[in-house]
Amino acid sequence: MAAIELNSLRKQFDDVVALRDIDLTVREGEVFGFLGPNGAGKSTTIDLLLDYVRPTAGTATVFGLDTQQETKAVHRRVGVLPDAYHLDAHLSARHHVEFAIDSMDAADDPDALLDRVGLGSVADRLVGGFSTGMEQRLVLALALVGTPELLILDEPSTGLDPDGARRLRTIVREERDRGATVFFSSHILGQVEAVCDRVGILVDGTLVAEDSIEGLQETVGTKETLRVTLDGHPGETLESVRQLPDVQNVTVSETDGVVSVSCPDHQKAAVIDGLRENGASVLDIQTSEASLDELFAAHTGADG
Amino acid sequence: MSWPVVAKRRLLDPYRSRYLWVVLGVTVLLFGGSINMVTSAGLVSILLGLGSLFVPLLAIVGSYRTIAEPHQTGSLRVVLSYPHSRRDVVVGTAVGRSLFTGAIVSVGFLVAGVISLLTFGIDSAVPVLVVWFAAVLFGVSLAVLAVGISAAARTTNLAAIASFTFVLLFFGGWNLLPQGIRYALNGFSSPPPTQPEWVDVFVALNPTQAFIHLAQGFLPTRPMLLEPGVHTTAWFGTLVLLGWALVPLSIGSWLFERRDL
Repeated sequence: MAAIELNSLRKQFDDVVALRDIDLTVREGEVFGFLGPNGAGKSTTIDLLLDYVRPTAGTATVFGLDTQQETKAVHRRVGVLPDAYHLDAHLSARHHVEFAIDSMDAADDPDALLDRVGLGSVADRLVGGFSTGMEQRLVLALALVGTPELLILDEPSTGLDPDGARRLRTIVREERDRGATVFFSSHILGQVEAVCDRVGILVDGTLVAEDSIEGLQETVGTKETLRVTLDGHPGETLESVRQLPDVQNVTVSETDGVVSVSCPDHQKAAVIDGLRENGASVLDIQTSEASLDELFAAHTGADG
Repeated sequence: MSWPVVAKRRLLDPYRSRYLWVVLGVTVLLFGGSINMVTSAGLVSILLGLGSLFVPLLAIVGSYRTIAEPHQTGSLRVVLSYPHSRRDVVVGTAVGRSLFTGAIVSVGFLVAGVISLLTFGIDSAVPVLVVWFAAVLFGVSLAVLAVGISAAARTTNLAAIASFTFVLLFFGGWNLLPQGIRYALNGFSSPPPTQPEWVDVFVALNPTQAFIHLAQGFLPTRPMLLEPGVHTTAWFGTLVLLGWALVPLSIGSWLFERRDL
């Protein structure tokens, strides 16, 4: 059974269409990265999963349970780090965790949970004095209460320092290893690349890609990035290179004049030839596999 | 049913935020000070007066934020991530605030009771107990009303405006409404001096009036503002208080359940 299944899910806010008929399946036991630029509709999708907002059309199910009709049953099996949350300033970290434990009818040890996110030493401090990163750690601990079968994390790395980000990655892997499904949204690709089995890319309310990272690289065709150092400025040859089929993201570095090009294997020679058209000599060629960054840029039309 | 978890948190909130000590201080000073100044004959009316002024302020001003504010700030996005339905949140909040309001009112009447026992003797016990009972019901009714308003409102500001409007109505605005209605029905000129019967019934629908009728129903002396009738009985008062609690709560809960967070 799928952990999450979205069928033609559509959400319209007044005159803005936030989601345009999304179909998406997240398998049980996988770590799914939900990528997209700000405003793409990632949080709206998560809000629909949690029944915080209601769809204009379509359905969403979690472990086969309808998120609108069987909301409580869904929430019993899900741990959530929501977007745009607020923690009550007059409560301590422990109060928040205890409320979560009571609510989930769980038997977790608050201290163990807070230790796991690195807040063990401030368990009894009021949340009013917490920084953004500390609040984020606390809400991550809240999401873990009751060992949920599915973790839904909305931009979990927001505000985290390097230690927090490392703990987050460790926790995601530990949770997957015990059998949980993890669904998390991000606009930070490094986080996703490091831990995800599969990713979906959402742009302007439309799911433009859903695949493993390797699979995405195949479909985009930007298998490799070519970095070419020339002895002069490439000038108008860049335009002819841009015209080559399957060639993308042709840019020139401002600092050292290195030309970088995303292209499939069979076009490498053509790219080099193109750059030498004006008589420039090639001093150095480096190739690297396309990073998700470039994939992301290719999909979203953002500058690589 | 998971509303008890929410109710417990809402009940503990005043204590954890230290708001409790401020309210307790004001309550003790107000009740203690007032009872100290009256004679035995004026005891019932000062208790009814205290109830009429203090209870609406305590119940409504203390509770009007309880859903609208966490809704607006995003605190509900955490609370609702657990297996609580929106109705659980409304019911739990209403129960938590009712218990808190009832407890504070009880502290006030405990102070009043102790002082009047010491000054006026055992005879004063019955009126204090009766008015206490009515005031607790009054307080619970208005706390639930305020939670209903809070659930219905989209923002804390709207909840505040609506709540203060109700406070002003219950403080006397309600009793003036019939005059306005009669004036308007009479083509915006002064209506005839004899009051139609519905005016008294309308006034009896004011929860403050209902509280007074409820208390007076159990007391031997009955200084009536209105002509006695069905609408001045204790059970009518009880129904009015129930109505002011349950109707707004149902409407608020209905709106809140259907809203995008």
